[in-house]
Amino acid sequence: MATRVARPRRPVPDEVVLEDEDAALEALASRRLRVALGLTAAMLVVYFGFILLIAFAKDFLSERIVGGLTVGIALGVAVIAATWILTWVYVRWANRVYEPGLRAIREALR
Amino acid sequence: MSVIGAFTPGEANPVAIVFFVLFVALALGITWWAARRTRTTEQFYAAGHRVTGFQNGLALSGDYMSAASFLGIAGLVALKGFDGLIYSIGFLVGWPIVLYLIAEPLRNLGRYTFADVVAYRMRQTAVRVAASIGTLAVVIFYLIAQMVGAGTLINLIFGLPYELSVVIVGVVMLTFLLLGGMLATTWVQIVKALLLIGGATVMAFLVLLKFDMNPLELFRSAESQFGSSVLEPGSLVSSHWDAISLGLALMFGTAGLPHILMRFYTVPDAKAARSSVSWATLFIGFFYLLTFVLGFGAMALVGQKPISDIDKGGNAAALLLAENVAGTPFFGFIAAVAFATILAVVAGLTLSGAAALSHDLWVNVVRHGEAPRASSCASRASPRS
Repeated sequence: MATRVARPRRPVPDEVVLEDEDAALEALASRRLRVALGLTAAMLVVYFGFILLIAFAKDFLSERIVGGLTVGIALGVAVIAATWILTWVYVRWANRVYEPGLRAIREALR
Repeated sequence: MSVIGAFTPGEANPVAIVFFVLFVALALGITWWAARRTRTTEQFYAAGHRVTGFQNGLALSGDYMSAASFLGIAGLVALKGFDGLIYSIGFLVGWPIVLYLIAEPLRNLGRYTFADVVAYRMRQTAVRVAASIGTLAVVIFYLIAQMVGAGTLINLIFGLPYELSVVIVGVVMLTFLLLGGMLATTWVQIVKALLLIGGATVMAFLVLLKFDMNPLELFRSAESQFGSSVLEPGSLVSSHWDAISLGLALMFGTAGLPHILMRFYTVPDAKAARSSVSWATLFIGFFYLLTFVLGFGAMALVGQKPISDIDKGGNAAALLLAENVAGTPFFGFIAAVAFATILAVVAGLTLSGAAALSHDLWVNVVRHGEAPRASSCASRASPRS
């Protein structure tokens, strides 16, 4: 619900242009929502995958990869790394696609 | 209570006092500087929307990494092993969700509190009352925990009576807030985040020095002293439901903290809000990786018994480890950092409670959106929440 983009409030003379830009904005906003929900799902899968392993596969997490390193600790570090990567993916997408798209619509409305 | 090295619980530690006084002086200096720049409600609650993404990322980290993250997790890992790390991981994974779903709409639609965003499309009064109740409930319970922690810590390190310690924390924190508002709070958080991350990094480095800079060597040492189970799950979460319920609570419970959400209003736009979350995720993730080393370091170097002798919850683990790896001066420094941590989190929490009371309840529910002057008065009276 709250993921919709605030519409630039600027008096626009031409109704047709407004409709075009409106549609473009809607498309961009729903694209952002799809990316955001997809990445949210990815984060949830990674994290709750880890939690479910803790709940149901203790033996697997207790296995030694090498002396001193259990699968559990290695996966824990991997979850933290995944958090960084998923954050980076979104910020990169937003800066390369979403922001320029927004800027283009704003320019068109000017 | 037992005596470990030079650290005697309940006796004043001069180094800790010097560092602590330095931090409070620095924070008061920041407050004095911020107070001269804080004139409007906008500035009081949102630092005039002029904090940069990187600065806000540090401040978010400062707000988020409370004493529970530092003393609590280190102690939990030291006493329980692997299961303590679930906290480190669960506390972090809420951040991308905040980034994807909350940060931008919040920055675009809100003014001071998250209720602004919800009230945008729904019935103002009911939404604001509900949101304020939620915020105040979180803030009060969180504040109580922090104040108890602060009281215990001062009592442990400076030898002051518990009640007096709590009063001192309250007074210092109120001074920051009433005079400096969000701008002072932001800079206090930034200083505290740098101190905390810096202190923890140095300490982890010193621990790893004793193990040939190899964390696996450290884990092996912990395992050989306290049994192979310390590297395996099961000591805290015994049943399936324990694990699932803890996992859910850690992720979603910490993603919506009101003093964190409020930080998104201090930046100029959605882009800066985004960049501040990614910086915060980087810093906080790095810090939680350090807790792996600090927790097992305390277990292997200090031992479980001396830690639980001082405090059954393990909260003394990080402090004892500091003493163990670098002696009393470093212990004093880490103690002061821990205290600064509590102070800063208390400030952030109180500000968000004040915003809920004065902006949501007073201005928008009682006065129906009028009287910004009254709001400023109410907020300056309200931090007592």
